Amino acid sequence: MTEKRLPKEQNAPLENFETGRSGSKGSKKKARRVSQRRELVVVTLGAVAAITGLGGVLAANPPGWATSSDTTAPETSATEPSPAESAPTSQAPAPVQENPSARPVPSQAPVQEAPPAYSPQSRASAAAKSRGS
Amino acid sequence: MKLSTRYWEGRVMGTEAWLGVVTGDAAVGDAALVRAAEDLAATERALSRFRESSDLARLNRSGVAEPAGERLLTAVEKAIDAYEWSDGLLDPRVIDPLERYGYREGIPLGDVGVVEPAEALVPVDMRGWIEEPERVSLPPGVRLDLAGVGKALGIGWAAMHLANHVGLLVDVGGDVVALGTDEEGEPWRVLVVHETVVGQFSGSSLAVATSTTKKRAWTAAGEEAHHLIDPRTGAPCYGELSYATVAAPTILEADLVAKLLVIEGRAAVERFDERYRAVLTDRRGRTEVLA
Repeated sequence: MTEKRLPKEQNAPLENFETGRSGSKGSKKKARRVSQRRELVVVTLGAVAAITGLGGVLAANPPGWATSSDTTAPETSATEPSPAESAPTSQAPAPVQENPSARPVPSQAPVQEAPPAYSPQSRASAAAKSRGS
Repeated sequence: MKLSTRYWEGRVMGTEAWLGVVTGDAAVGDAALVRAAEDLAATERALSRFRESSDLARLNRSGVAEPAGERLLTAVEKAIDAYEWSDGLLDPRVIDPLERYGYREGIPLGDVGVVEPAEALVPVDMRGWIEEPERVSLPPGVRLDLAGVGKALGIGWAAMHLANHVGLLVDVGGDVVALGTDEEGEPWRVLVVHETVVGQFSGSSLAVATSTTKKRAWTAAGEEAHHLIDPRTGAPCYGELSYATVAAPTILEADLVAKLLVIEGRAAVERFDERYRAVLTDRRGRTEVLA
């Protein structure tokens, strides 16, 4: 299942590390930027836990690498979407839940207050493709 | 601070994976990617039903895991949650039907011929399978396939390593978590591909998954067969939808709801949370967006 990779590669230099500018998944689009604060914004551990649905034991007992202070909500840079990206709904900044419960899956606390923006149109280059597997 | 996108790509869980982190410190980003890739591999080692040495394979052989590893225990718990929430339509006991249809070590490469009549999976109470905090005990003859739940959890565990950077994206077989921004400070974009691109989600907090009868598919006596089993029949589902892509608050929900839509059809919308959004393509190739 892991023909190309671990464990053989795990301790070796990763030859396929490249900047996104040369990768197929790097975003190239331009949009007028309203905020210049993006350098200060980082994704918090809580935001990851919330959107990935990891709660309960993991959130209560984060592994050692995840114990740094992590209490701020992720901020988002306000951007003005290009016409091709306009969508019927707007996206809201994501509130963070630090310790989502382990309730049944669909009842987990939200990381989004509103659905993400969806556009029936797309650009050729995008970060990822959801296609099924 | 100059940002760059560092990434790792490879195969895991039988599919393509791409991990990316947007960071101002390439070395730190690379180290995080190594940990994330290792974590994905660890999830596969624990939860693959195809690896004889995996925790799941041992559980399926012996019926007992004690003490159960954290990944296995979490995956079983989530699978039971999903089974109950879906009224039994997302059933982890599908190995027997899959094997009857020829999906054993891998996807059948050709027609598997006539398949014995399938039987519905009898509803059960799975809560008793977790007897103690660290013990899983299956009834005789029961084996579990935790592929969907395991992949979603694996994405989450891998993504945890990529926190504390400006942006991250984890894509395992088209199930995608994206947080923060790309290196230009723009929201991530995830294309929805149903044979062709039918649209895209964009945002700084995305969990998107696609389920389809068109991948991991083969034929049985000339009839369509695939990996999505309808427990009501014990056979591959043959519903109105061929693709369902779901954006949800969590990748677990996105993965499970997408699968449920393909198995149950539009009726699954009744179970929708108002924060879900789905892009559906039916067997005639007609695409619609549900919110």
